[in-house]
Amino acid sequence: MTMTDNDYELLSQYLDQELDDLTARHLEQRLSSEPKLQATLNRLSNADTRLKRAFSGTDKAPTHLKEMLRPTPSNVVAFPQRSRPAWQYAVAASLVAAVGLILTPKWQDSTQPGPSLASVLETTPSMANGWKTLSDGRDIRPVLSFKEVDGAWCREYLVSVEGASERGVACRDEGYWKTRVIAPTDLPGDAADYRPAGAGDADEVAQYLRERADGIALSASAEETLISASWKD
Amino acid sequence: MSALNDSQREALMAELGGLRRYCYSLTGSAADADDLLQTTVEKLLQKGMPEDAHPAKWSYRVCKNVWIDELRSRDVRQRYPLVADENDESHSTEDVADGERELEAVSAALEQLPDEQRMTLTLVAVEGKTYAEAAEILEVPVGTVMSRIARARKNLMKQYGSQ
Repeated sequence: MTMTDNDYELLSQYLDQELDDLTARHLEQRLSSEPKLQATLNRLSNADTRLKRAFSGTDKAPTHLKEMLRPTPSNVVAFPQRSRPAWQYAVAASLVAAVGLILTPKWQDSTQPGPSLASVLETTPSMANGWKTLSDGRDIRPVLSFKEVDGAWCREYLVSVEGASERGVACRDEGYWKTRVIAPTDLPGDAADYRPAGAGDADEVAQYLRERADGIALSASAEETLISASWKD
Repeated sequence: MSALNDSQREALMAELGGLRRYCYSLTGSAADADDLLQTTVEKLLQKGMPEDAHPAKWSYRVCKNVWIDELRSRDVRQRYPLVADENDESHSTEDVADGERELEAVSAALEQLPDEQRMTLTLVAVEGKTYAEAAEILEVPVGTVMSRIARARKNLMKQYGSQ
């Protein structure tokens, strides 16, 4: 008996569980009495299995595409008291103010190999100078780690790309680094040239630190311990 | 239509693996799949999606449209020559070799199918979409999905038989 196009459609819908119960039962009766129909169903089923198995390992999307889709953080978060005098935040804020960057848009452009902003924040100790180059070509320098008033671990960082610069604060929220505040700024030169921010400094990041930081930034050793523990305290 | 909101972004991130697999099934190579996926993501970010859109269906539809655009506008196989995937990870060398050979064989068989059959079959048989979902993604009637899948399976069996 020759297989018709209708037979193929029925078998296909049966495999995909798209037949209504009555039609499925009718087809099962035919399958039990028509060896060729049953053999064709088996071959179709095997072909499906082979298809699924072949593509089973192809679902690993490149990391930079995940970064492109990562939710953009809303501004503002809290900053708990810790172990560094407030003036250190002001210094750090002024350092940061000196840099800057175009965070989100450029973040979405990464096409080359290299770390993501999140991975740098996750694993790189704060630095007084030097840069880490991200996959999208931006340079980043983590400058400070601290705890927010609501308990999240946060990092202040500088970013620079193609002459534009920004400084920002990102906090670790349910395993993701999310930017709390980001502000464009001029990049005056190396970090060593930066001066402490004055009391009247109106920079968004400095203000954020004043309002949300838990008082003291982490020491290098405390930061190192947290990095080793993947920021779980 | 506005830019993607956070919940849409999160939903799309959850779909990214399936989308990448779908891209692979359409293009037949890792490098092409990544290119197609990147273009799809860029399109989603640029154009956004309606508030009430289903992120999974919407993203697959965008992916399908990007692929059709590519097919129409240029010779995809010239633009995207086959490149070995350097990113596949974590299996024994033997497993990887077997898996890659099988993937190449299945991809070669799929490549012989008409584009609309390949797009439809992989949505249902690989991605596990229902006929109704596939119809929505492909913007065709459910009946068209049924007939395309049946023809695709029939043709695929012939391809397997000739390998």
